Amino acid sequence: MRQLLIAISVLLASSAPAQADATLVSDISSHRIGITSSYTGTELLLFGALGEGGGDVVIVVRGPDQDLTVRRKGRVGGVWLNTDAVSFRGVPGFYAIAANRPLSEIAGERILRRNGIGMASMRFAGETSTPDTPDVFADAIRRRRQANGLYRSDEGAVTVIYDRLFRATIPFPANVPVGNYSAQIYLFQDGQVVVGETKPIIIDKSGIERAIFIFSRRQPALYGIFAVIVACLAGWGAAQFFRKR
Amino acid sequence: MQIYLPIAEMPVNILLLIGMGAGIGFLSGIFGVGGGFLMTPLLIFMGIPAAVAVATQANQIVAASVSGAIGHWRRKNVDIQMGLVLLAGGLVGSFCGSLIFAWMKSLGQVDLMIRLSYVVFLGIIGSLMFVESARALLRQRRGAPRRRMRQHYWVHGLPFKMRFRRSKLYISALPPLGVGFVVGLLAAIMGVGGGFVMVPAMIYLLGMPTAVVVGTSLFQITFVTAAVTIMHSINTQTVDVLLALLLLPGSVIGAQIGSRVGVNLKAEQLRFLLAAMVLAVCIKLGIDLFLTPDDLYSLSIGGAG
Repeated sequence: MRQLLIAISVLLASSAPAQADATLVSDISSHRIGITSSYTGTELLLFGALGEGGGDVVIVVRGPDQDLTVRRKGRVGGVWLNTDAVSFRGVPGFYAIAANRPLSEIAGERILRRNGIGMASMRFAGETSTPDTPDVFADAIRRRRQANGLYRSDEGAVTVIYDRLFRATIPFPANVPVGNYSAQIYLFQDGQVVVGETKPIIIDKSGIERAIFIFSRRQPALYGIFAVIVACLAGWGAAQFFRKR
Repeated sequence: MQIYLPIAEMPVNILLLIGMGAGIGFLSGIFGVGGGFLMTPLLIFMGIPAAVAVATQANQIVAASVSGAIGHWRRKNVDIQMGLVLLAGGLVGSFCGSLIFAWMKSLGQVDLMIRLSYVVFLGIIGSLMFVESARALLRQRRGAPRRRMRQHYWVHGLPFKMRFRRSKLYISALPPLGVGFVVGLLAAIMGVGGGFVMVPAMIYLLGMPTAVVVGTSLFQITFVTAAVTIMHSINTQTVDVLLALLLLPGSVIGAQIGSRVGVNLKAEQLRFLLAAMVLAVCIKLGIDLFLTPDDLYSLSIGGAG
């Protein structure tokens, strides 16, 4: 916390004279998350300072867009199996909102929606393969992803101190997709967006994780042969090792 | 202690994996079976995607059977001709199996297919073993002699006869090809070595001498599961090397201990226990198919195929 305040004061001192108009200065504790073999989820700290007049801070972190298939189970002869499927394009792989108070108190729904803020503002373009109601399937995306922590809305995660400094921690669960993320930080005053900033975040597999994953996708045949050789060596080696005792 | 699996894309506890490897290894040591048909359901129960569990298990079986195969090879307990014929069938079977697997995956039904095939196979094998071992236990009490298997079958009337020197057999190549094919299919779809199908088939259907049965089946299993590993790597990219490696040490140690413990136990009682366990896993998998899921909807990344 102390370090953070020092960092912010340095930030303020250096940037305030240059950008006299700016009413929002922000940064992230790290712009890169490496998924290593010990990765079980992490948190990023977003912090910054507001200009004169304070205001409300809303942070939206979006993950890479994905094509997604939502399947619905139905009962066929007593057994539950996937019966209907709807494909969606451009579904965010991660979506987290943090604000300093409930969104409904910060701004009107139309303004929020126009800026892509709020779980309901996410529109999923569904390619319906069964002409059912795709809304049910889109709702399932929100529900499932909220359940496993990939979508979350925490209206209270942003702490504003002295009307000038703010901080928020955004949790990234173990199952985050890799790719390019963006953190958008909005400053609201009187229900209107005053300033918006976008910061990039990259989540990438690193270390042996990354090596294995990339190998398996780029050279699948070689990867398979590699897997067999590794298994042969390990199996033979282990047998030799344990035979002696 | 958690570790993130690169292909399954989830964190798991290392100690749990090693423990599971040891537990299944111990059982496979006691009963003298590969543990694939118990390990794959356990991985699925753990939350590992069924497709990853199957493909990775094939890889793990390569590791678990290679040293046994080498040992039997050295002791000349492998009928190479028979092994090659079984292998030829196995390669065709695993190729078909991996195509079916990839096709079902694109339909979103691979989970169902894996679970259903497990329920059917574990159900059949479990009940056969259960009945057989119950009979054996009863017979033991009465002290009646064991029945000899018949020596001649319809098998001997088929064309394409081949001479298998090591097994001292002159039979058609079709039955071993067929057996190999089925085993390859099972390896690709269920991630099992298939020893539990192949060994009885070799003894009773082909009439091979028991001395070469285990070595020859290990020979075939090693190559078929290796082929399955490569095919799944290419078609569905579901082989997790890290997961396979983590399961290995436990299973090797467990098997060593298990085989020592197994010597002191009675074979009929062992088979009875194994049958009960197989049936328990089968029932658990079966019930899951019929229970109403918590959420009817599931997501998978990528468009519908």
